[in-house]
Order: sequence, then structure tokens, then C-alpha cells
Amino acid sequence: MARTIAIVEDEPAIRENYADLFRRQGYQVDTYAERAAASAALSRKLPDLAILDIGLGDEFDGGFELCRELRNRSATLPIVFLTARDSDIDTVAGLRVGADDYVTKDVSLHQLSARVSALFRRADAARSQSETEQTLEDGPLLLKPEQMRVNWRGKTVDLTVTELWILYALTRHPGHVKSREQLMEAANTYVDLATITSHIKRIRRKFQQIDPTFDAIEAVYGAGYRWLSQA
Amino acid sequence: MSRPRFWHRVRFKLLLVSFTLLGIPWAGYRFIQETEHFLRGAQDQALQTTASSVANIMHGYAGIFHGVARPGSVVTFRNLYLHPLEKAPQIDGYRDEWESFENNFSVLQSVDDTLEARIFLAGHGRYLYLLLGVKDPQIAFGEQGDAVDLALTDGAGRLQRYRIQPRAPGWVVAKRLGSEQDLSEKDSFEQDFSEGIGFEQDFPEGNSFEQNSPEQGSSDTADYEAAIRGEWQPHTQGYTLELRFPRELVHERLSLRFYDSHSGQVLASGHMFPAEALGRIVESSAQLEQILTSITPPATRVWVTDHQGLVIARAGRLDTDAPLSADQPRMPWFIQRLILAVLPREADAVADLPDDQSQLLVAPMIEALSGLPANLRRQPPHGEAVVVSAAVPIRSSEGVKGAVLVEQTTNAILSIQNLALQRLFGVTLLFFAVTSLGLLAFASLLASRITRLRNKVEAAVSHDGRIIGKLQPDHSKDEIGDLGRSFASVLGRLREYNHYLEAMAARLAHELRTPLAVVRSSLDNAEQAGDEDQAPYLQRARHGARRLEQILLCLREATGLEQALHQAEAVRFDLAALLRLQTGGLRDTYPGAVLELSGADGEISITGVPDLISQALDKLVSNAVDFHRPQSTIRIECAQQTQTVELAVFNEGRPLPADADIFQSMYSGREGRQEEPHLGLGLYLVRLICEFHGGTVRAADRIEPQGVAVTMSLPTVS
Repeated sequence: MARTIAIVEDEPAIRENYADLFRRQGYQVDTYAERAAASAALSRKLPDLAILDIGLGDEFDGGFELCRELRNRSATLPIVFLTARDSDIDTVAGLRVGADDYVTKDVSLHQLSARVSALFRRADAARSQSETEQTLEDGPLLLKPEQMRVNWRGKTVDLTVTELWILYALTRHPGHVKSREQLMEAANTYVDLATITSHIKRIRRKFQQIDPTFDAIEAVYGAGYRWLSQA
Repeated sequence: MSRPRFWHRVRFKLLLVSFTLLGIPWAGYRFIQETEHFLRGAQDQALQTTASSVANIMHGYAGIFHGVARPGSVVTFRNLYLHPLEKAPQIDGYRDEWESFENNFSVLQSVDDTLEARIFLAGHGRYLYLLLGVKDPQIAFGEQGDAVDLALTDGAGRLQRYRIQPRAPGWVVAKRLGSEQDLSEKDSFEQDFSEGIGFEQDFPEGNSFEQNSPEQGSSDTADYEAAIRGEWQPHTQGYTLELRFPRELVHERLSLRFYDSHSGQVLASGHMFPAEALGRIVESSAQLEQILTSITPPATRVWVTDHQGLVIARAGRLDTDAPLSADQPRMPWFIQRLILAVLPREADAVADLPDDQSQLLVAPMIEALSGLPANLRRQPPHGEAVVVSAAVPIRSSEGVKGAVLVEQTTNAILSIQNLALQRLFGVTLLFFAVTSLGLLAFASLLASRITRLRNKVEAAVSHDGRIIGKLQPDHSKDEIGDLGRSFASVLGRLREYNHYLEAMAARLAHELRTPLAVVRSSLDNAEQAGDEDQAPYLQRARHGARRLEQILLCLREATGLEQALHQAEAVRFDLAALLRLQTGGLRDTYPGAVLELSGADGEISITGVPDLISQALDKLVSNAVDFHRPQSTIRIECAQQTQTVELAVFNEGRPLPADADIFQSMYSGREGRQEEPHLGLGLYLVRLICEFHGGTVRAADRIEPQGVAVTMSLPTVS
């Protein structure tokens, strides 16, 4: 059965473009232009993945509202936020509304679909509980790329898709310096370098909430970042 | 801005204006002067009136006045004044006691000044005294020697003549001269001897001197007047003759004649012949003095003289000691000094008229005796007060018989004037000082407020025109407060406008994003829909969209940086370590370029944001790589100075373009088409980062080897 993706976006051109993309890929796509309609429809039936624009028409935080409703109904439903401004990422992350990723609207279709695929893969991996999947260990770090799970000292670190890809790029080769451009590529995102920096900051903060002594990510000025082997 | 001199300042100008207040004391002074003038005139007038009224009264006593003044002939004398003495002078031929009456000697002088005779006639008790001082270069004794002749009228009115011709110094005798001489002289004598004839030149008989005729016989048988006693003593340049004789000897008239045998010159005080022509003895009249005393106003001195200026009566007293406003409260000493320095002391002459003066020959007197009333202001040698005199002639049908001199001091006027002036000066000086100080203080206040406003405005605007602060105006409601508020409002509006402009880039980026996303996603879909014919068009559209995105990226980087600057927190870190790390990384980033780092071996502590420094260095190296001569080395040079660290990135290549501010935003010196859209923000961002760290950035050409070095100068932590 084809998976269902719900797209809630008030800009019609973008909405239809995204819808066409995913339909071409074989997904079932339901589109909504405003929160009320989406809320009503999704309350009847949950999609397999939701892509939410934050600013919906007159409602400044419409996307957040919607996200909360969906989360109430399913803790595992993958939700991707679309934001208009880079700064919103910080705001959104601070709100901790529980989305799985945040991207800006000018993300390319390819990048968006990569995220969607990864999220579906994760869902599948969670269901199958397969142990043969790839695992990356480095001291207190345990990373399962398929499941998109990261554990630090046994506790789960709640990273977005983008953040996880970045972390994975760093930890695959501990001690190697990854430039920001490389990290951007690995994260399937094309943003300015400052945004990469803020992603790194957010990653660090999430780790530090679990372990205040975390300092495994080192900034190599002018070059990029590297993961200090914890082994 | 150089400090302008004090005399350009508003304070100085206000001070100058306040000097116009000096006009007030000056005006007051002028007023006082006018008043004084008027008062003086009034006093002169009053004196004249007093003198005139006295003269009128004297009219009634015309009998006391003998003789009429002839115009032009006043400065001679024929009459001798009899000075009453309190003590009998000692007849010793020496001038010891003469000092006290020096001012009253009558002086006869020869034309060539070689001969001089000083005559003083005095009376005491029963006797009359004649003190004669003669200047005679050559003295001769004996019958052919120098002689002094006396001619007088006795109690019966007969003429008596005596000669004193000493043979030696010491006791002298007066020889009576006989009547032969009378006759011989009478013949040669036809002059009009009404009193009033002048100089001794007019005495023809005076010019001839009959020596004793040899027939006279020896002195032993001559007729001597025993009552006349005297002493003859030589004196410097002459001799002294002091005589004493009883009052009864002489009645009304007395004349003297001096003969110098050496030169043959004769000095005479008056006619020697006939009796009516002799000089009179003039005494002060007790009767007149009594009358005068009763009519003299207080603090006034009145003299009445005869036609020769000899004092017949005197009354009154000058109040020369009146202290100037002594009983009024005095002003401080410096004001007094000031006033004394400023008050006019207009005296026409310095002259002294002591009470015992027997002949008044002062200017107004002479004029009055000529018939014209006159005034004089004289300054006595001692004392401060000026004496005002008015002289008026006493007329009769025959002519001017005498004169009246009235004197007063100006003390009363001066008192009032001084007091007024003191008060005026004091008050206006105080007023002037207070006002000008007040003005100065006020000007200082205003000037300092204006200066403060200026400083605030300067502080609110950075040197390149960005508005960096808010202006807090003061709360006063006057013009300066208005100016301050206006400045604050203007700066506020400019600031908003600047913000608006700065935010425009961010807004632009934001607004462009959605349409760009639409274009992008449409293109993605179009490509996937797969129409071969459309492929090249889609490809070009995609390129265009990509370039748009990169422009957006640059814009967002700039605004993102400005935001990052707002939020950044500075920490202390080791710049040298960062440089070492980063150079390694940059080598990886630009594999084709040769990067060389120098001066970063030790530890250099600075306070800042490491990410921003590294970002700036990134930009500089990126620029250096773009502009460097292929195969040449790009140098990163780090040099620590006293308070800064100089971080320079140098590349060999073309020199800087002239006349360009390469650190301005949107400046691009690249030529030709670029692969990547270049907004020229790199160096602008470097500058922002440097300024954020409290440093500066500059670019300079180097010559050996030729190239460009961009140097960041950052403050270090000691």
C-alpha cells in the first residue's frame, strides 16, 4: 500500500510542486492549504508522514498547533517543518514541539525527498527491530543510521534528521576534519555556513543536556569540525 | 577639531557686551562732573556777590582809603605797611628773627638786579622798627660810601630826613639831613606827586644822590637824631640794617632811599620830597576790621586792601581743615583712592596766603585793582582743599581806591561731591561686577550646555556615519533644550531609516526565498517530467535560479553576520593556536595554493569570538587566492605589537585599485565575468568583524615583491 504524505502549505505553487514530486515517487499525497481543513481531515485519519509549513495564512503558529495535535495522536509520526526564515529553525528547535526535522522552504526537492525516504526507512527499521543493521560505536556513543537513533551513555539523544546526518558524517571518521561544505552535503542541505554552525551548536546542546561534560565535537577553525574519538 | 581660542568663544563675546555696562559708571561720573561744574560756578558767583556787597559797604568808609590805583601801576608800592608785632625784634643787625615775616618784606630791585633792598616796617609797643636787608656786591664805608636815607613826616607834619651812613659795622647813627638839600632837590623837581606814580625810575630826585657837602664839617658837629638807633652788619652779598625809633617820631609818611656808592645806583621806596609826596604808612584799620568781622559769612575769609594791595582789614577764617566727608560713612579704601585719582583738582595756581600777609599781589587782586572783578582757584601747598577767591574793586568817583578779596574753600562742595561720587562708584561698580559676572556665568552655562550637546551628538554618530547611540536631550524648555530634542529626533529618524535600509537586505532575502523555492521546485519537477526538447531551457533556468540562490546566500550571510554580531559572546582565546589550526584547514580547502604562516609560534591572547575571526581570515585568504599570481606564495603573517596584534594576509599580484574604498559593501574589484556571483561583501564583513573586536583593518600595496597585504589590527589582552 502506498504511504500517505500530508502536505500543509499555504503557498499553492510550492504545495503542488511538492505534491507532484512525491506522487511521482509513488506516494499518496494529501494537500491542505490551511490549518483548520488539515486538522479536521487528519483527525479522521493520520498520514504516514506530515510536511508542515509553520506560517499558514493568517495563523502565525498554525504549523505548531497542527504539530501538537498530531503528536498527541501519535508519538512516532514523522513530521517535517517547513520554515520561511533560518532564524525560525532556532525558534522552532527551542520550542521543542517534537518535529523530526526542520528545513527552509528553499530546500530542493531532492533534499526534501531524501529526508522523507530516511524518515520512512527509520520507521521501517523501528518496526522490524532488525539487529543486523549497521551500528557505529565510539565509546559512549552508539549510532544506528538506519533507525536514526543516537545513544550517548545509554541515553537517547533526540536529533533531527539533518542533525543526525551531520553527526554521522563526523563520527564515521573520528578525528578527521569535515569541512562545512562536506557536512552540508552529508546533511542534504544547502545553506550558508553559519547555519551549519548553528546545527553543530544545537547538536552539542542536545548532548550536553544529557551529559554536561560533552565536548566530543571540536571546531577546527577555517577547516570545519571533527569528532574526537571517545574510545 | 582644534580648540578655538578664547576670543572666538561666546563667553568672550558676552563679556565684551557686558563691558557696555561700564557706560553706567561713566555716565554717572560725567553727571557728577557737570554738577560739580555747576556748583563751582555757583560758588564763584556767590563769592563775587559777597565781595561786591562788602565793597559797597566799604564805599561808606572812603576816608580810610588813601590814593587811587592807576591802571598798570599796581605792582609798585609807595606806601609801607606797618606790621604789628607781638614781640619786639632784637636790633642786632642779624636776620635771625626775620624768618617769620619773610613773606611780608617789600622788595626794591634795581633794573639790572645787582641791587636789592628788602624792607619790613613793624611796630611794637612804643617803637617802630625798620628791618632792611640790602643786596649790594660792594660795600663801602665812610662818607663816600653806601647810605640809607629816611624821609618822614613828624607829628607836626614837617618833613624830616635822616641819613645813615656807617663808617664801620656795628652801631649806627642817623644824621639829620639839612634843608639845603631840600632846596636843591626842589628845583630839579617838578613832578606831579599825586600818589600813584610808579617805579623808582620816576623819582628823578631818587636818581641823584647828593653826598654830604664837604662844608658840612666833621661828623662831630653834625646833627644826629638820637632816637633813631640801629645796627648795621654785613651779610652775604650785602648788609643788614635794623633800626628802631619811637612812634612819635613819625606821623603818617615814610620813605626810604638806598644808595650804592660803587655803582652809583639808588633805590627808593617813594618820593623823598616834598612831604606830601612821601609814601604813607599804612596800617590795618581796627574799625574796618570790626565791621568786616560782622559781615563776613562763616568759613569765609575777607580781605580789604588799599589801592596798592596793602591789607587794611581782614576778617574770617578759611576752613582748610574740613575733612572731606569725614563724618559720613566711608567707602572702602580702594574706592576712595579711585575717586581721588579721578576727581579733577583744577586749581589755577599753587599759592599760599597766610593770615598775616600784608600785601596781596595775587592775580585776581591785581585785576581788581585795575578795575576788573576776577576769580581765582588756588591750591595751597599743604592740604587738599582748593581755595576759591573773588576780588572786586572798591570804586569811587576818583577811581579804584582799593579792593575786596573774598575766599572760601571748596571743601563743602567737595564733600558733597566726594560723597556722591563715592556712593555712585560703589553702587555702579558693584552693579557692573554683579551683572558682568552674572552674564559671564550665564554665558558659561549656556556655552557648556551647547558643548555638552555637541559632545552627545558626536558620540551618537560613528566616524563613518552610522548612528551608534541614542541622544538623551536635557529636559529644559529653552532653545537649547529644543535644539537637543530636535537633534535627538533627527538622529532617531535617521537611525530608523538606517535600520530600515539594513533590514532591507534581510527582508529581501526573506521575500525572495519563497518565489525562488517555487521556481526551484517547479524546475525540479519539470526535469523529472522529462521532455528532451525542453531540457536545455530547463538547464539554463536552473543555472539562473542557482545564481539567484547564491546572491541570496551572500545577502543572508551579511545579515546573518550582523545578527551574529549582536548575539555573539566574546571569550578569551589563543589566536596563535587558531591560526595554526586554520592554516592547516585552509591548505586543504585550497589545494592549489601555497600558504605560509609566520609569527604564530607562541601564544597570543585576545578577547573575541573565534568563529568570527576565523570567518574573517577565511574571507581574506579566499580573496588572496582569487587575486594571487599563480605559483606565488600566500603569506599569513602574525606580528604582536605593544597593544595589538597585526594579522596580515599577503598575496603577490596586481596592486590595489586607486581611489577605491575596498572595504565598502558591494565593492567588487574583480574584472570580467565571474563564475560565481560576487557581491563584494567579503571585505565588508571582514571590516565589520574587526570593528566588532575593537580593531581596524587596512589594505596596502607592497613593492618587494609586488602585491597586496590586508592587515587586521586587533587589540590584545595583556
